[in-house]
Amino acid sequence: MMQLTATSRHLLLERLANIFALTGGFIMLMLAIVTVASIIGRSTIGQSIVGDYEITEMGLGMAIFLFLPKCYQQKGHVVVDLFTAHCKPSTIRTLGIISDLVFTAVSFTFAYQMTLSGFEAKEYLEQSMLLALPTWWTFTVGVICMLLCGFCGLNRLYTTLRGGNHE
Amino acid sequence: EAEYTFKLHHMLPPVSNAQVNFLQPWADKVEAESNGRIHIDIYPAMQLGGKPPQLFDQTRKGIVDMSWTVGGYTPGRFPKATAFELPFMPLSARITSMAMQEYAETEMQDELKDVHLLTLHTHFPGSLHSRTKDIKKLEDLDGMKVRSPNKMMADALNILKANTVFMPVPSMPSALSKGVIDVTALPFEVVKPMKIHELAPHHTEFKGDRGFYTQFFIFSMNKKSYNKLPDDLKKVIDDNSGVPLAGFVGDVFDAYEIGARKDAVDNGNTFNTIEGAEYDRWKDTLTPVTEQWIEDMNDDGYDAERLLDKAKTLIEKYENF
Amino acid sequence: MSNIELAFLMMAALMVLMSIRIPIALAMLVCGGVGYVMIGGMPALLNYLGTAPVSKFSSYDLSVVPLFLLMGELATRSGITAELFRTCNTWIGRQRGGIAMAAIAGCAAFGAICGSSLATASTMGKVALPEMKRLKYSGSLAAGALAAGGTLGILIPPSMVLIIFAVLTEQNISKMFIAAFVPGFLAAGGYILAIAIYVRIFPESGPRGEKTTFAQKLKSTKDVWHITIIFLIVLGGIYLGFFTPTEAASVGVILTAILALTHGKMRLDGLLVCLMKTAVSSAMIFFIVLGADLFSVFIALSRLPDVGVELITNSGLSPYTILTLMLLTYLVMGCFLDSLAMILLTIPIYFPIIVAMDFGIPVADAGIWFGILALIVVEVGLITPPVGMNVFIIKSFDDTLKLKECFKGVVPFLISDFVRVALLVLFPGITLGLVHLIS
Ligand code: NA
Ligand code: NA
Repeated sequence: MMQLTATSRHLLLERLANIFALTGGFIMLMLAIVTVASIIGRSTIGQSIVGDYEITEMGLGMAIFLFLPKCYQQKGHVVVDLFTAHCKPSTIRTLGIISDLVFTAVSFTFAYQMTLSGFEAKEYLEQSMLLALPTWWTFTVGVICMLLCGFCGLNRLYTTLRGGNHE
Repeated sequence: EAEYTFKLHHMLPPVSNAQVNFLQPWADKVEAESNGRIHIDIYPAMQLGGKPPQLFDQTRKGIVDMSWTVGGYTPGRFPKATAFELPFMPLSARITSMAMQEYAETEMQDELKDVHLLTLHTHFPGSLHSRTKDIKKLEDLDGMKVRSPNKMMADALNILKANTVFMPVPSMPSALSKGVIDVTALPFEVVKPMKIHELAPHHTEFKGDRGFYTQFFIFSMNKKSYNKLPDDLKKVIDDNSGVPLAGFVGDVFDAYEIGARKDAVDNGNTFNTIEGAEYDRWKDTLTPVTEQWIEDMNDDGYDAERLLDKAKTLIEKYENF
Repeated sequence: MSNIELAFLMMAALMVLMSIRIPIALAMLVCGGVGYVMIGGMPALLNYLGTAPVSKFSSYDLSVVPLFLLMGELATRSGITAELFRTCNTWIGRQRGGIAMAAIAGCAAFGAICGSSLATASTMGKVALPEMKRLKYSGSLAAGALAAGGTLGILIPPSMVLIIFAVLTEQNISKMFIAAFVPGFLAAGGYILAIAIYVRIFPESGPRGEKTTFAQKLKSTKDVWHITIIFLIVLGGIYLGFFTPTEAASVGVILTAILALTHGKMRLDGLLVCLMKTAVSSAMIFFIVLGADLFSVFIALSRLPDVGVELITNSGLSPYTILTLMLLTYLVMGCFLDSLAMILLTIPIYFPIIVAMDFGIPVADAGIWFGILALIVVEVGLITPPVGMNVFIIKSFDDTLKLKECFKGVVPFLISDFVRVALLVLFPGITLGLVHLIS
């Protein structure tokens, strides 16, 4: 029973991270299309897409946040392996727990602080120059993604500590 | 060793007019008048992190003790101040800055309540700089790709049927050299350091009772940082802020403008002047921007006519100062 | 403890955290964060954490990184780059290390359309690494060549770092680009020479390919016209003024996607895989960018660069010694900081000193010359341990690579960099000749 819930929790997190990453990917594709449309527009009919710079900035910000959980799940973050190449597996496991702890703590701290900053951004009407796109949109996406990162970290900690080897 | 060390954060390079002729001399003066008890470390070029629109908040929250930034980078944040961004409002930087500082002291307490205001000021009225052709009349902007300095000017340029683009200042030179933009609206004070006059050799200046447009800058201090000072040191800061400081900064920007314009002259560039009947035509064509502003401000619950009137009266007051 | 001591302590702590397998980005966040709290206080750090991710990730200039990554991914997955390398192999595969040399040339060509080293290293790495491994090149040589080749993204104009340098020092950006031209191509040539010497000493690292006839060579060449056309459109678009180098990334992605869908027969599942891989690599890079930002803000707060410069200028040494010391400080800082951060932290203090000294050349020339020198040594930081961004990027594409062998593979290219810097310091004319010729 316990095993089953662990697996389904794991699957749920993985599915979420996949959806997030793909959404970010499609945002990137859309940004490329907007930019190219803007280039074609201004070199043919002399009209670019208003605020293409702002759209790119905001879209990129959201996309990068959406990419973060998948990167963690795939152990995509670079680690220096120079000094620990010959360590025992148990040492590596302990070091892994430490870095997962740090990652989880950092993710939740980011999520919490970005929530505060996001509310502030909303209150103070932070927005882009021409299109008045509100900055708090990016904060919202960022907080959700950081939370997912934190839960992925918790999940890995939990499975490692229980002796499982879900990856 | 100073008793109080403050961090002053801004976005421009250390060789900029703002740092060399305004911020650094100001910091030195404060240090000298406090007999070395206040020391100010200047961090240029966003060295302490964040983007230029965040500078005001960094001061408000006490991340830094002081900051200097462009008010228009945070559109919607200082609605009353935008009266000074309207087309054909400004006079010289000195006059407009002093007027604006007094306007801030009497009208903008609510918008600026979270910081200790040192001064609000403007740059010398901006001109147009074109890459390909002379801009001699209204119609010349039709279909041109123009980089706008802020939202207000974007509205104005749209009325002139220009294709408005906004991009960060550092992207401007390469965008101009590649023809991604044809025209940019700037004071010569920015043209000189960015070498815009080498890329856009056709300048258009406005000669009439008012300048074309301006931007405003906010030089502010964190409230706690100010309040922790003893009264005698508070006085040192007070002696170096407000309308007199606005006048000083205005002078700095006016003086620098003259030298910066000379660079463009020495480069053999062409200068066009919008004056007389053509000037009136520009002014008339752009009145909808002001009308729209009044309507929007009234919708938001401000007494727009009164604010505009006040701004104009103050500019006239300091014109004859 | 003084702030300077704190800065050194945190650099040491960074080394320790990294060596116990804490991901680099996290290690920089932790050390930068602790240092920041000690100087700036807890509220300042918390505010930084609340706002920095959004402002760092929403960066127009950095949008080229994920876009070019996606372009590389599309080109690889659809088999376009495999064709490109097959062609290269028929032409120069017989030459030992030939494919590594071709990869350098590829990096140089890509550098001509891309202004970012990270994007160049990641795109070319993604494209070339699997091919080099397939042709039995050693991991060291492959990773070293691609990491070093990646620095050509900045060394060959257009160049993001050079734009920032020009803005900070109020230099003419076109003149800076012209000045960067010869040193940039010297860099590419020097790297190719380094490979030639390296494979002579270690012949197994870059094995010879099959012998091919001229007919085979010609036949293989017709496979690559598509990608050549994309490259020419992007290059032409930039230089004829249809779009900026930043926008070029979007053009590249769209053209490659069209090519992949029509010629490479990519389907939806293939596209999804590309997006997924782009996501992981982009997140890795931007997470490090975030960590590096906090660490460099802490270093700025500590005023370490200011104190260092004061020591150097008050030393009463000759201009050339001071210049050498400055360049050396970049190498040291380059171990920990990223190139843009280094430029932002040091140029404001170094530049006025340089133009005030007498190098026997006009002041305006000295500014340009120093800019190019700084650019090169700053880029060296991307391939030196322990924080070598380009090396990390290349490693992240292949799990079988060990960081140690990657950094080993970088050594010949570092030597080439040092020789080039020495030449440029001794003969300012190499840098300034073209500037004088054109203007
Ligand atoms: Na480049
Ligand atoms: Na390094």
